[in-house]
Amino acid sequence: MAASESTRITLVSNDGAEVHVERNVAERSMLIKNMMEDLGEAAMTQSVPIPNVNESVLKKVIEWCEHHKNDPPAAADDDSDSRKKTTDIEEWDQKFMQVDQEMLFEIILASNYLDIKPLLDVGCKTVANMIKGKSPEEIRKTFNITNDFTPEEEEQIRRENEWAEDR
Amino acid sequence: MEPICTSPDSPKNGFWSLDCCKLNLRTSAAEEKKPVPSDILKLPTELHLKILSYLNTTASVCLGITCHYFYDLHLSVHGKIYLNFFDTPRLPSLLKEWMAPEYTFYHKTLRFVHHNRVEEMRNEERAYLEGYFEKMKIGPHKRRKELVERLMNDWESDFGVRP
Repeated sequence: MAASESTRITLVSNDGAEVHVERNVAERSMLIKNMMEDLGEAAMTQSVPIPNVNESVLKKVIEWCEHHKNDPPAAADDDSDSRKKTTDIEEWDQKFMQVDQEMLFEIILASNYLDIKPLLDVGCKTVANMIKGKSPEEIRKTFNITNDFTPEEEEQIRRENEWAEDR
Repeated sequence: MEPICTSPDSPKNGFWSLDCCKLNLRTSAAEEKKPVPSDILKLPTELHLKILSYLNTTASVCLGITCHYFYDLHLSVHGKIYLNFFDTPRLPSLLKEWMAPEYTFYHKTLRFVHHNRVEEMRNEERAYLEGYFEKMKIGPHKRRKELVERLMNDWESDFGVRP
């Protein structure tokens, strides 16, 4: 047990950086976990390429895995409504997600690619919380979204949703 | 820098593009690191849908009307959302700016109405309430008027459309 916990593997980011990490930490990623199982002993001696993730994002993701390495595994398909609707985020994760937007969306993409569902959930909840309570104009500003509606199309939306009275 | 480029009624319309070029030259070095395109739009649709699954209908509407792409996603998840006090009590106040200046929220009909009509509708309501209080033999005229104003203010602030 102690031996396997301290087994370290080497990941290589898409910009060529080697990141050494405990195997059980890296295996928070289902992609890596499956890869390890497929590769068997070979994985211990070879480095594992992570072609979609750069060094800074990979290190950040590993930081999250490190903190959460002892979390109980999530139930196989824990997508129940009660779990989905809440956007509560534990304090450590909130602090972890206090990064610029470029990094935030990179973390989301990386956790999706590496198949780390709890991290993907935290990322998407963080974005949801940035949207909640804001007006459309505030959301555009926050995420730098360009309004591509013409005034006529906006009027059409008002009418089809019956937000305005016909008069 | 942006407002100069995007201002539609800039007095120097003829030099508009020229000014933009100059500005871009000057700012490009400083902004090289900060790309203008929206980071959120780089995510694949499946992840946008996942984010939407964490939004209530009010937030989904507000995201939806930022651009065509999110509006289609919003419609695919929630469909049309009517304003009502139980599911979307905060929506009128968040839509207020977007509906302005053409429309103003009117609490009694739970709809936005054309700004030309809203004072007229408020006055109708005032007259009705004053008549009602008079029939109930409440206070002198001045007191009735105060009561009506307070009631109407309270109702509207329930929706957060008035501070």
